[in-house]
Amino acid sequence: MNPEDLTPVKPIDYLVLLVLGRGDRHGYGIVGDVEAESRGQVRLQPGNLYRIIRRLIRRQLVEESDRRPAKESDDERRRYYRLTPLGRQVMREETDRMRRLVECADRLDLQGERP
Amino acid sequence: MNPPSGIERCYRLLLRLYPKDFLAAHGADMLELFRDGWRRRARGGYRQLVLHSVQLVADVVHAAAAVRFDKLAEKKGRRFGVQGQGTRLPRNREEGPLPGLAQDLRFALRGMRSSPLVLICVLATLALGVAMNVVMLGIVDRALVSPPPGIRDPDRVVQLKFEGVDAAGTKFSMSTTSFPIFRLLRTLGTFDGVAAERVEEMTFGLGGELAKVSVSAVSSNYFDVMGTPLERGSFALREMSAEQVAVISHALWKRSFGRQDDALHRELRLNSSVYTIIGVAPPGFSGASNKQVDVWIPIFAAMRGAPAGWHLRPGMRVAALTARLREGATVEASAAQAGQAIAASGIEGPTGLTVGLAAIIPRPSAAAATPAGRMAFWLGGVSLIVLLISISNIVGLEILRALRQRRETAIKLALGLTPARLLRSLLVESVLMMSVGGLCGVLLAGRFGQAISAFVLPELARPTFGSEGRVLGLAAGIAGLSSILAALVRFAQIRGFSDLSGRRGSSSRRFRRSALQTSLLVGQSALALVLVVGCGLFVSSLNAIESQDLGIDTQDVFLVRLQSAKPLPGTQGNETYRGLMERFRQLPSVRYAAPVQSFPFGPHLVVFTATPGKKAEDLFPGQFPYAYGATDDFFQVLGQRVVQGRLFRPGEAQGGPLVAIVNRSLAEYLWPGQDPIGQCLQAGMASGPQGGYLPADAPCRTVVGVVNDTRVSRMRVEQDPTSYQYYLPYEQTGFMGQGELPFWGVLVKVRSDAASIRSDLLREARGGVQPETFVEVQAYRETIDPQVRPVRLGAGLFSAFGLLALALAGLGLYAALSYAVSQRRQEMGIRLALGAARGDVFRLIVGDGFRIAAMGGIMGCAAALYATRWIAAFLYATSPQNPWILGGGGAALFLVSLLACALPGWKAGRTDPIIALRAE
Repeated sequence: MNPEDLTPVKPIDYLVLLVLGRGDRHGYGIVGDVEAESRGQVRLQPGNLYRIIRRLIRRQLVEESDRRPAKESDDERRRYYRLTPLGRQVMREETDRMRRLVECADRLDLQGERP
Repeated sequence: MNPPSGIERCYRLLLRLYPKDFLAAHGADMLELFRDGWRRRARGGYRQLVLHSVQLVADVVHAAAAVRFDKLAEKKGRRFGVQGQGTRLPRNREEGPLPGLAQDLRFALRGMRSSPLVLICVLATLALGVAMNVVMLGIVDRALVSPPPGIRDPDRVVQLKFEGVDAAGTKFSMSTTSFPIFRLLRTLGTFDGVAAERVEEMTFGLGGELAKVSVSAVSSNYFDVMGTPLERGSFALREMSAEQVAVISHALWKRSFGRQDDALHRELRLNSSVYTIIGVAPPGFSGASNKQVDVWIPIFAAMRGAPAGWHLRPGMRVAALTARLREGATVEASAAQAGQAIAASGIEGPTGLTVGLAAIIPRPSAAAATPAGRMAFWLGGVSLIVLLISISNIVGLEILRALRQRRETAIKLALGLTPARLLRSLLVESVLMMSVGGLCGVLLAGRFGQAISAFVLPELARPTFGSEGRVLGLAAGIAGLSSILAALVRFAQIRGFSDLSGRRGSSSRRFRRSALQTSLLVGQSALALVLVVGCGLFVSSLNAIESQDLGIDTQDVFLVRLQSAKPLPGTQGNETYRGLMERFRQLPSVRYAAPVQSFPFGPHLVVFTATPGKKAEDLFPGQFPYAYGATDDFFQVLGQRVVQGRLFRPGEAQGGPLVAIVNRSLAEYLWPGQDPIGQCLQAGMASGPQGGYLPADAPCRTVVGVVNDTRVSRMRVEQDPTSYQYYLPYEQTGFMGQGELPFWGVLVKVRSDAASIRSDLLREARGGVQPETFVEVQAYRETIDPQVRPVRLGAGLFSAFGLLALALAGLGLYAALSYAVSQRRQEMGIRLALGAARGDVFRLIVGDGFRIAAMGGIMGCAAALYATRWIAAFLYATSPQNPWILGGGGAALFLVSLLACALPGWKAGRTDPIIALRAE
């Protein structure tokens, strides 16, 4: 599937993709990182989180991970998630898309607002 | 802390809202995440957990609905070959997540249209109930529960109280302390921070624009200790900076500067000094107390006029202290450490002071004991009663609607409508209706809440209404509860009649009101009676307290006061007041004007008083008599009556013979059975090493007259037993060795037909003073008013609530009887055909209504007798068990019931037997 067909993604999905882009995470890790990265603006609750994960899995952007971090920091009961290669492409594509938008906004701002 | 097993079980139950496959895939993880979240929030304390639980429920309900919806959309997409993530609404009603919802909504709207009167009654009842409770919740919350807003971790912020023992061994307690103590505690390290604060009233603006604001003079670290980031600007100052800068409250910023950004660096005139605005406090922030504060300035700037070195003097108690506890530190340990440090420093003498730390989060038990708390508690109780009446009325009205629709519903049931579907359509209808009612209530509360709060508890910092989550939650809760109750009641009623489809118009059926409806009607009447009796008690108290003889005539009397940042030196202040008096006397509408130093309900003078040969302490072992310095017109302004002798002559002043006028009680006490005129009274005060005493050479003041007794300072006679009073010519009050005492204000008596007198006095006074002097014109009654306010407030609120409750109870009764009449038309027809007179039928119906009202009345009387003991403390000269008021309340209920029964009864009497029988 072409990553461009899958963009734009919802902001919250994008945040989860970004967090998973840094490495495999379990649910609690995703919640913590999303909250930290959004500076406390986004607080995910369990119900919503797994709905998002399910959506991302169905679109093949995220998958369950069989890799586990080091034993001492691991918790057997938890399921880990990671980005699929498609997920990583979509994340990059979305980042580019947004960057292009911001550049466009900057340009317009230069021509329109200032003398 | 792991979540308690009960809560976890609830969460597991909630999770069942998800589709099974989703639960199988993620259920265990969600449960794990729930436990993690709980453990994390548990550190934030109880409040955090409650908030978290509400969020969790909302999260699961929302996400489960969304997942189910996604699934349906997918299924539909597959069926019609639609690719991708279809998110459109399913078109087919029977296929949606709640099939037939639109149909239910249509039915609901139709049902509501068919009975607009009932609808309006229900909406109005609910809106009033919600609005009143939202407002009262806001007030109760601010007065009793919530910490002051805008403070970070308010559970760690404490106010310091100091207790000690003086040389005589008497214990004392105070909330302020000296600056050296503040510095000591600040550097001690026991606390994360200690801030000093003194709140005073200052004038704001100039000339005609002068207003009073509440100003808090604070140490430079104040906002850091509070943990309050400013909305605009910053309060970064050196420790002892006396810069004339100010932070203004959000409310003042809005009110006086239109929320403009350029308010920063603008100038602000406080008590005729100019301050530069450097910051705006966040919305709602008013410091650590619930009192309104408008401006914060550095304490060193505020103390510019104080004696030099004020901040080094241990005895000069200038500020209250607020501290932030160290994380994990206990109140007891911190208090003990602070106390030890004070003792070790020796600043407060060898014994030091005991330090007490009071949390700023009100403890409901302690806060309920304060006057504001008691009032809030009462308001909460009364509005709860009205809410109960509202809900029971709604339920009653819904029962009527159910009965009206029972045939239609019976047919639907016979055609195969399932009970579950019936219940759901009833719920949809109720929820729709109650949402509208609840919303109206919140809007009403938002519109009138501030005004009601200002009327009820003016000293409380303004709570906000209609915007906070918990307010909306309360409104939603009331509306939701009413909807569910209404729907369930209607469902139960309809189910009870479901067999009627097969018994169309059965003539053997007897009309019977359901037990639930009867008890609701009885309950409403009883609660209404309780409120009406409360109203009667308060109105009677108000009447008693306002009509009592205070010994003075307060009608048309005004008090004019000047307040200046810099007190005028020497006797200049008194000259200004004398000038004002002369100006006022020129006004045609002014009858008398007298500058006063002491007067009833104002400040008074208490000095050693005796007769020759007696010791003052022996003569008056309790309270010395109250002395007043009387200028010309003093007695006329307050309308005091001469009982014997004469008043002072104009010019009976310094240098002339010393004279005095006593009140009747003092004359009877000092000279029983003798003529007081011509007797000798000694008054004066000197101080020695043993304290004050009456100088041996205190001159004789000859009594020239006796006037009536007046109240000294209290409206309630039990707090102000008859007191001994005497009056001296003002010019002869220089017995304290200080020359003339400063005047406090000017009392002015105006003609009763004088219009716009306040502005006249204000204009006249401003003409005679400097522009930065604040002129206050107050009706004399206003100085007494705070004492009458609780009673007046009780009278106002109980009257409003009582009338509302009576109206609601009457409405409920009327609706029930009207329905009964419509159901018993056939019976009435037969009775009339068999020879009953119209009057008999009328009595039958009215008797039915009266039985209900009488039951309610008896229960209400019992409840009122029990409940009124709680308001006994607010009443004045009125017994809570006053039989007349109970009887009057009963009579009011009787009258309303009569009105409510009369129309249905009259209708029943007008039944045409032929038509009634033919209809069947």
